[in-house]
Amino acid sequence: MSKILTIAHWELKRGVKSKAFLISMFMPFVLLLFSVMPTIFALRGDIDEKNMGIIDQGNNIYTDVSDYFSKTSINDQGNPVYTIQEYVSTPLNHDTLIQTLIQDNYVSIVIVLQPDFMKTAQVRIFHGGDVGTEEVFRLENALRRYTMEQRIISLGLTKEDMKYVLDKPDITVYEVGRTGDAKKSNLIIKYGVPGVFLWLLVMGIVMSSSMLISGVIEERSNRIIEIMMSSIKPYELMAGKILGIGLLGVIQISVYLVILLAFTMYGGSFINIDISPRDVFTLDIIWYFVYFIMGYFMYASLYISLGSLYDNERDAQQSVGFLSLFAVLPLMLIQPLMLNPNTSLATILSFIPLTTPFMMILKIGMLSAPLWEIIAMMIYLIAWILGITWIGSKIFRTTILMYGKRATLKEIIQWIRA
Amino acid sequence: MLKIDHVTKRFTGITAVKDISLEISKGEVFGFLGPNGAGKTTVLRMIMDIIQPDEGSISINGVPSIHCEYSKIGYLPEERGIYQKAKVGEVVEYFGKLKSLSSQEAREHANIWFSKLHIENLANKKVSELSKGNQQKVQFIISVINEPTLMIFDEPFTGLDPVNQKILRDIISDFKSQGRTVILSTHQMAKVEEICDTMCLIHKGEIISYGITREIMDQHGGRLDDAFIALVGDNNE
Repeated sequence: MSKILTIAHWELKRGVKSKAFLISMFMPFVLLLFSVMPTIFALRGDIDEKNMGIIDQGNNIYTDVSDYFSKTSINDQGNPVYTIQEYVSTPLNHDTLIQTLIQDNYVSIVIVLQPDFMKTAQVRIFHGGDVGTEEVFRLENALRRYTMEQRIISLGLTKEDMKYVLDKPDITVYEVGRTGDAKKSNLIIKYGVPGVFLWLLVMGIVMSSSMLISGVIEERSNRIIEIMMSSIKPYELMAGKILGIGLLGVIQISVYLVILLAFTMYGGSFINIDISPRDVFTLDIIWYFVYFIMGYFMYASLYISLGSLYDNERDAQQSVGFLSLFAVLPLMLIQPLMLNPNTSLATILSFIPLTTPFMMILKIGMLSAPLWEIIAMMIYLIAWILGITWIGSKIFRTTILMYGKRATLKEIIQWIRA
Repeated sequence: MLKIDHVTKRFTGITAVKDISLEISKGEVFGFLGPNGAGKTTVLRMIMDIIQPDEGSISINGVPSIHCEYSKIGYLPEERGIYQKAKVGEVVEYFGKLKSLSSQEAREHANIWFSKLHIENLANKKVSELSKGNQQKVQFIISVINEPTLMIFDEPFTGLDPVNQKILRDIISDFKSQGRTVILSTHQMAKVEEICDTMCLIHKGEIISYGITREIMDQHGGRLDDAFIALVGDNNE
């Protein structure tokens, strides 16, 4: 056991010092930030002040609509976003007028209220390249609301009646947990936290795969392995390496948890999300942590076992790299799985050891998987990890001194049986 | 000390070692000679239980090789390799620990050997910064750091200048005087003549000469070079 720990300590020390580890640790966050932040900024962002033209085709509601936009489209400083002006078109110059107004930058947006607007509620919005989808969406909403309000007023109802009709219902969702207590369901935590763990695990595995493979290849190609094998048994070497790499995973996830804690303490207000450490750091996070580590162990044992079949890094990366696809699979299916984690696909994936850790993280987060299932699947994964390590050490023992010749499947099966 | 009993090893379609038997006594320096591809390294790897014989058995001090405590044996393989990015002191300590030494013992032993091989100033350098000869010395230290009673050196003089070759030769002589057993595989006949009590010559996986070094030399005109050429030449077709 002490030799396994010696190897684990060595691998851990070498891993922590390597640039590949630092990159693999922080790159998932960088990628996550790059994929999420632009959306958040777009949603939060203040819309620039612009000129807007309104063509009211005989409805006589220009002033009303203009006032409505001036009151409802206001920036952070409290100023109206749009400087609005009315334009009048004729059937002959209608299209040209709109084209000229936008192309020559007189206005960024032209709103055309179609004839008989109050009946048909038909509006056309024309805009230039400086108007984004989010802004168009806001304009559509404003016009929809304006139309509704006008129609309600036309029915003879008061402003109070209108407020009463348009008032959104106050709905609170409760989830009854494993312990039977009902608590407010927070979708951000329910989907977001396991989603983030899933993402970090996938990225951690994909990015550290090259580090794992190159570690084995270095020992083979530098012939260090022969000295190693004269001091320790192949099983000890495999177990030590997997343990060392697994501990790297522990460091990685611990850093992620610290970042997550900091985010829950200070980051929520920044992106207008109601989140606190108490919401996130529940019992579930311990299970995410455990499955993250097991996922790491599972892939480490496979990469090391299969990596030992090759004596150069290029061949190994090409042949073993496909394993990363299994890690990416749950990420690709995350949307249907999140909408319905009870499908047979989810059940199948949770029994494929390469996807078990990911599926369990999703199940724990979204379905409140029962404790027996969490522990049973943990034992299932540990059995697989030990089995792969044992088989890997049998392959390892034979392949480490084979140079220039690639093992066939038949040979590998013979070594495992030996 | 070491007994090899009718050992045969085959690799896909090739018999690398054919029915060889040897006995090496405690305190002997044993020369293991043969041309390239004769099967020497295969025999040494089988002694170290890195690969296993297809037939026959190997035992050390009466214990079958599969049950031997290999961390008590020193092995310097022919193929040299070492972690290039690690520091010399760290690498030596690591291998010392793999050979069952504590961290402190490994460091103490390493310092003694660094000083014996005149590389005490290199402990904090990265292996990649060392010359080939100095890397060779570090590997030699790794193979003897656990003070083994049986040592197997496969081409230990390769890459060393004459001064360092002499230092190494003197160290091996010291091992002999301490009653420790050394198996030396080399192409340098002069070294075998100087330090090996007994020897065997292996060719195409078979032993073609085995006995006391002086007697084998005398049978072929007094020089081991001549004995090698005569024996291997005769069997080289």
